[in-house]
Amino acid sequence: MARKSKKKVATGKLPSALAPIIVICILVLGFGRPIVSSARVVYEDVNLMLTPSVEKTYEYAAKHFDAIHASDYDRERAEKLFDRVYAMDPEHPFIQHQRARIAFLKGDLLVARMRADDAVAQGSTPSSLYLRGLIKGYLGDYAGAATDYEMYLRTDSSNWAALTDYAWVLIKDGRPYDALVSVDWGLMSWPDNPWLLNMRAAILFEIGRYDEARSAAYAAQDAVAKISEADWSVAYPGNDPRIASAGIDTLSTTIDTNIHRIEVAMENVKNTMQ
Amino acid sequence: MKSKRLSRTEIISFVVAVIALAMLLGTSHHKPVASSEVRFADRSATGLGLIPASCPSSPSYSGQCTPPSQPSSGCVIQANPSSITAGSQVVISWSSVSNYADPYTRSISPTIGAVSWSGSQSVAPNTTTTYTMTGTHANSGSNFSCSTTVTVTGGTCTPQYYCTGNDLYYTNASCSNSLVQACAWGCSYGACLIPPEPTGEITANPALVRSGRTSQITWEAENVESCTVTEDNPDINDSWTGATGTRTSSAIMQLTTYTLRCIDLTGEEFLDYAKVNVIPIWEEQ
Repeated sequence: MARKSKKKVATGKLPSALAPIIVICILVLGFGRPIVSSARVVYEDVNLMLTPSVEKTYEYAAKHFDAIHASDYDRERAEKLFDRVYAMDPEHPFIQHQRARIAFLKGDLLVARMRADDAVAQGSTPSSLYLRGLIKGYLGDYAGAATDYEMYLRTDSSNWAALTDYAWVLIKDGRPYDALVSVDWGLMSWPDNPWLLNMRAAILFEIGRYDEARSAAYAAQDAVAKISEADWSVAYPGNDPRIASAGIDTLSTTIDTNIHRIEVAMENVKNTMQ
Repeated sequence: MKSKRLSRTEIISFVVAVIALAMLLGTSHHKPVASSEVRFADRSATGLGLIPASCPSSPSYSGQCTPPSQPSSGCVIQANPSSITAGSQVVISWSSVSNYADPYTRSISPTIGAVSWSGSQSVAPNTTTTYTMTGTHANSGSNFSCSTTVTVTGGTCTPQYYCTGNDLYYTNASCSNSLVQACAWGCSYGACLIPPEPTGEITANPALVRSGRTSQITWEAENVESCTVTEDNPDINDSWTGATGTRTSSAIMQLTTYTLRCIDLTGEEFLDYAKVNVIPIWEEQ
């Protein structure tokens, strides 16, 4: 009896052995980043399990909390790892600072305030004073925030963001002239900074200098049109860089609204004088 | 009709696809998380929107908030308001470069004096005044300055002397101020304070000695420019200088007077004395 030939007959279809390879290639090309990111997380967890280390845990946490490397940004993972570092070494430099930043970004302001107090007491970085000032500002303790900003700015008086936020709490604390000095000082280095320009407009409006307020507001509008998402994500280093456009929108909308309010006020003044 | 069974290859492909999909879904929960400050906008008292920068740099990656270039002038100073009538107050506000590791010393003239890197102060100039802030870098010696002018209009003044710090000024009827004198010992109520009274004393111990013995001479003076100690004994030659001192005299064989002579801060002289007597030797006749 003749044996049946096992030779396959070509049908014109792809060899089935290639099918899984093609699937994998499609998925990697289409969704490579999250797959690689997941693989990196698995790698980190395995690495930490095999060779547990406070420093390595902190390094991984900081990497996931960095807006500059958007692909690695993962606040929840960063929080988990920072909590792990804190559990292993509560005195680790910067750990309470980082945990305070996370609590602040989550909106847990009271928790953030407590951790920021620890960070300031620890004294690892003057940036903790800035952070605590920010938290106090969000909590409405403007006088307390101003004190923290003043102390921080002694270490770096040229930090435009600190000058912006210092001016913010000063104007809220009823000190518009001091706020104006802070903003003007910052504008000497960054004349096109929209945060500073918007703050300047608000301050000048506050003290009745409407013409100058309008000029500053329009300058802020021009400046915000030029700002890129990359610039914005740097301005909020703890924030998710993938929602940078929302932050720019907030700034842009606020400036537009301010221009409108200033012009309405100027019109009212003109009508009153006629 | 025969049912089609999946080949091994097709099963593997399906499993791989499911795993890949699971991984994709597993990472898709990592959605952008809205942060508290993203949509935060505060309001000033007059209703304008304030947007904080919210940029406390990560301590792991310093300089995330774009390190700036240093401005050329180093400071900014403002006067609010910039024009007043005589007798009114004006707030001088200032801000300047600072560096924690390498500090500056700063001052504002006239009248305000040494200041910190930022602050404000009320002043009431009687005449148009330019307030100048200067700063000197502690290590390099480099400096910066900036100024603002307060224009004063109207008013007349009572001519008088007044003090600002340790300096004596004079205001005339036209409200023009001029520096009269930098007082060496302070200024109060429109006059320089007089220098403190000098004090001094000289003692000899013992004051009564056997012939040929010595005595310890001690003197102390305050608020003086210089002092000398001399004696009137022709047999010895003791002479010392200094505002304070303790010295052993030469062998004394007759009554000797030590004189402390000091020149005080006004150039006047004052004196004090200490005598050393000799116990007489009785001789039978």
